[in-house]
Amino acid sequence: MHKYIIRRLLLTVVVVFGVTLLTFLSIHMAGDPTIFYISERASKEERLAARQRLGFDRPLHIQYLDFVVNLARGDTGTSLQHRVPAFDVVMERMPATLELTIGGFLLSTIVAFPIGVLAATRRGTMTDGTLMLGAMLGQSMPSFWLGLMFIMFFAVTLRWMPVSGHVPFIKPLLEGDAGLALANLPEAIRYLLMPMVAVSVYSISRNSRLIRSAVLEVLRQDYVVTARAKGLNERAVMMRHAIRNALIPIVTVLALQFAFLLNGVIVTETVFSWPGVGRLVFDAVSKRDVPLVMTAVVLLSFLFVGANLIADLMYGFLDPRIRLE
Amino acid sequence: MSAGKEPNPAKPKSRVPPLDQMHAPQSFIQRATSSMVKARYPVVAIFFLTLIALCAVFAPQLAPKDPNRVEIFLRLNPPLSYNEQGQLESVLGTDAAGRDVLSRLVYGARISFFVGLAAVGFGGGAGTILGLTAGYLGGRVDDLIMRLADIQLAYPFILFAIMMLTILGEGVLNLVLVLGIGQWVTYARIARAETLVQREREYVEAVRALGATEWRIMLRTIMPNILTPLIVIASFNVAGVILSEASLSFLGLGVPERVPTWGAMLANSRTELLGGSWWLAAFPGLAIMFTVVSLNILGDWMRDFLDPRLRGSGQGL
Amino acid sequence: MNRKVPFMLSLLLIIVLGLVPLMSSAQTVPTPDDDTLVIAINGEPGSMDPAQVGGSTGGSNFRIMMHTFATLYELGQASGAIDPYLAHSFTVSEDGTEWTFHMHEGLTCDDGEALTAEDAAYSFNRMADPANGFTGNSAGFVVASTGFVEARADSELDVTIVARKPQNRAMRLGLYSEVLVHCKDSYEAMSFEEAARNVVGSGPYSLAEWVPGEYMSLKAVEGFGLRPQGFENLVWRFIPEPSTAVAEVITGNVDIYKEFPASQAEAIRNSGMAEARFFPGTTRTYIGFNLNPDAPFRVENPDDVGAQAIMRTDVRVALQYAIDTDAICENLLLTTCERATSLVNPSNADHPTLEPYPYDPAKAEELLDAAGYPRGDDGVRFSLEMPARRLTGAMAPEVVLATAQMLTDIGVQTEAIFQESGDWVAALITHDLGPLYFGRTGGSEWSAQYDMADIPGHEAGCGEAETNYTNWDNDFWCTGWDTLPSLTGDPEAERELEIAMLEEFYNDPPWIMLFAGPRTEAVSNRINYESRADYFITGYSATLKDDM
Repeated sequence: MHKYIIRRLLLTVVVVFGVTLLTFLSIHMAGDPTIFYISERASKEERLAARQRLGFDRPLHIQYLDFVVNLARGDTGTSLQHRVPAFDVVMERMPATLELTIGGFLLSTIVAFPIGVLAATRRGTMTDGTLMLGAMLGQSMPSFWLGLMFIMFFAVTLRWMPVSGHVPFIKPLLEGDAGLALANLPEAIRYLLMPMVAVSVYSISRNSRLIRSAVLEVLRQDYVVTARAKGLNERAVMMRHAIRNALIPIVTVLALQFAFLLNGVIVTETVFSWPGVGRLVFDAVSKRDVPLVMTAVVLLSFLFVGANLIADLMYGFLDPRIRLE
Repeated sequence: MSAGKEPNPAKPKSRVPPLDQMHAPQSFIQRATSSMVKARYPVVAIFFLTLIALCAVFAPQLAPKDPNRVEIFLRLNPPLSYNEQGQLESVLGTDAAGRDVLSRLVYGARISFFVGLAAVGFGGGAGTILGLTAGYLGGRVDDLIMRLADIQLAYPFILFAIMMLTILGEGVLNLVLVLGIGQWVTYARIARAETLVQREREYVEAVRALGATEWRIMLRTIMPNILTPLIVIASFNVAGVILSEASLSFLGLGVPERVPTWGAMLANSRTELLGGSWWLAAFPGLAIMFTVVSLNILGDWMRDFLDPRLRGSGQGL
Repeated sequence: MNRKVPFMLSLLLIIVLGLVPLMSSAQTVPTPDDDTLVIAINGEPGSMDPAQVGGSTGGSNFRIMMHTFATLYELGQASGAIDPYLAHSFTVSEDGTEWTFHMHEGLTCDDGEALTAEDAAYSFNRMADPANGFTGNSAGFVVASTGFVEARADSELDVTIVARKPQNRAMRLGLYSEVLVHCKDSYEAMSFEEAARNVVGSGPYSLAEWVPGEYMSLKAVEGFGLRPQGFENLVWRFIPEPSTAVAEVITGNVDIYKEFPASQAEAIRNSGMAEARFFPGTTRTYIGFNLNPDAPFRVENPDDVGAQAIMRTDVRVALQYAIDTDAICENLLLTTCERATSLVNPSNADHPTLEPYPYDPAKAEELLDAAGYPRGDDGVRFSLEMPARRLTGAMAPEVVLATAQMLTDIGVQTEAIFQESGDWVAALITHDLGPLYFGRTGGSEWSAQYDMADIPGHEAGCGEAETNYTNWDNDFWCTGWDTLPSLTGDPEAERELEIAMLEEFYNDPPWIMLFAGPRTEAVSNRINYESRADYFITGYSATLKDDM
């Protein structure tokens, strides 16, 4: 087990290395970033001077090695746009993105479970049909569109919800101010609700369909049939056997769902003025803020790898037959 | 964004029907048809998708107007608006530049369909071959391909798409390429897992004993037997790709303005919504919705039908 | 395990809810109240360093920093006015190169440090020093356009700014008015990183709170007498999506939002919360002809007819007749606008001889036929690409598309290509964008020469001059530009030359002249606020209405 984790961590290093190399090459392939950081009236000489000052005149492999060496020392460089350390810029926004993804993840799991199980146990009935039709519809709307509809309906027409904005919860928590975090919680949730739902409707739908099939699959297994034959009541069968065993394939997908949600946040953050990493990175790419893009990619890929690792560990935990080697 | 994997709950156990069972053409088609008719919904889905496909093929004949014709005097006309001579001017209204929504919708079917199929075809094809190779050859090749997959998985897809489209610029083929690359890992992983199971089977041993080359074994012998789950996933992924296109359009990336797509229409409608021009969002939105739901219904049915272990678990919904 | 989870969750929820009443001072998203004005902007500031305004790094910080920092003179609210600010007057040396500003007594910066001539000189020198690597409006535009040499403090209250050459007075005063003054001691004590995030201001407001990605909150500086401070707090919310910003206006969470999409005016008015204003702006909107012989589209496709055709003056004149600016403004921007006759804003451009090119597609076709570009069998004379950006207001995609359609209608098949803003600008400043490009450039109401400065003279290389994005190489124009400084003592001769130059621009057009882009602004019904024709939002001048 320990060996496995160590191996995975080593793998993470390889992966992060690959991800940074890929990012680095692609951002430089898109043209000289210097042009974004000179005055519109800069002369050719000034442009060359700026190129030198920013270090973009060096050979690419030197620039990349420089980045890696600095990264290993914990220095991610200074954001060209913000003129402060890139790491700080990304970390300022990470909590908001985590709120959105974790919230979306919890919501998509918590809501999807009852829907999936209910649909499976009522297989073939109206309930099943309605729930699954709803799930399909939920999978057919882009999140930005849902977000805008929420704003128009719940915020503008009904005035139940705030249009956009953010009240921090994780940030004060990380800063050690649990009291403030708790005090913020009601408002934080109020502002989180619409973006969270918008970002997770797709996942809720997908997960409920997945859970339904997983439960159906398990219900046909011999041990469930046996349990029923033994005369256990339906509820006990569901709880003790079906759901637990159905969890195994589900958990893998749920963890990937976390990564999937992280993908969805760029668009949702824009619609709801959510101060997260997604929007920041999009902006950084379009302004070729190389250090900022690289830092964000490194941190996000750590998150992704982490989510995958947790999924694998859970997998092993839930299904003792699987040995992680 | 379809970087995640499409659920396949029966994994990792194999659920592939024996070869002979699938390769009796006459009875296969008959069984498929009767299963589809019995499930009812897939028939509706097929009908709708055929309709869309016809729109795509016959767009120049079906579209009442040039989809890119800008008519500023007709801007934001609601559906069923008539001109001064009492003739029907636009059936589904016009957009902010006065372009005809119906015509754009019909032409949009081309791109949405093409991008969906081509991206999945490209990503699925590449992923399957890579997964097959990794699973069959093992060793270094396997390591290399799977590490590549790990890197891809650790890369937030949308970020990847933004980077690539920034470099490559907008364009239909660029979009296909980017969305395809976003997909391959799913197929590679499943193809690999399936290949690992299949390559130990007796029929593979038999073919090998007959002296077939490695490539022949991989492509001719194993591939047909691992395709089922991949095809099912592909049908879901086409839907996912159509949605991804919409999200990228929202960010101003994707195809050029002259190429109408449903996603871009939906994305561009957003500045007009508060002004009350509901038709700009409603029609492309419905087109996307019906297509995606149809593809999902079809995917569900295919899974149930092609996969005996799951057959009978759903009514197509 | 399954049964315990919901129980634990509900227990946790009960505990949390139970604790809520015990908590106090939760954070919220700032909303308007009697002391607080909320302004929405789409971008967000990168750096708040006063030497780094605008450009890629500054982002939209200029609008905000006009509140936290004062300037020697100020681009005034009323059209064309440049008002005294930190300085009450100025004198100009005999040769016109040295300007001495006389500053008010008793000024201070936010940290209490006295603000004197030394600080003003420091502000100019700091932003202009190439070693500091600043870019943007001050370090790039002002330094280059004024020929800045150095600034020095002559006494406690007199600061002299030295330039290489004399220059039109209104123009120079306007440019000097864009340099934000900050205190020497405080900024010398800060690293660049610290200066990017901290503000030691000199303006009517000081930075109270900056939540990156969300909002910036400013607080009125006590005892600042030079400008009004209508509200105690000014909050700038960063809302990237225009529709979201309008929704915030409609629900009463935002007081001022400039450049809302024209079609949302109705929704804003119907909400009863805010006015939807339309008014003439100063941003010149145009279609540029890229005449750079070395541009990639010309080098890579030497046979491209369109790219060669626009090198000809008669073709460029013909295309002027193809665009119906009135129809564009009335139908797409929902307001009226005056077609431009040159690169100068109508408010500065009193050129008696010039009539705007009329919309006359038949004439355009006639001229193109005569130029030797008849329609082909497919009805196309030649094809052109027109890179543009997706912006709102006068640059909205439908405006771009409409102009492309109008050109296509006379047989010049034009395709609008929407690009990422950064890429568009990068190609623009290297003179590689085109063959046509849909552009805009900030303009002024106080000096024709400010607007004309886009195309400087021979000294800077004329055709190759950095901001001459069209690479227009017109000898008369360039010589004229080089002559202008020598005429600053003789306003009549200066004006005469300006008019002759503008006529040249009209007759040998490097642009398809459109209009000074009309602006929109949503302004809450609860406040008095005068909209500005330029880019700025002067939040300090807003006041609560009496009956509110």
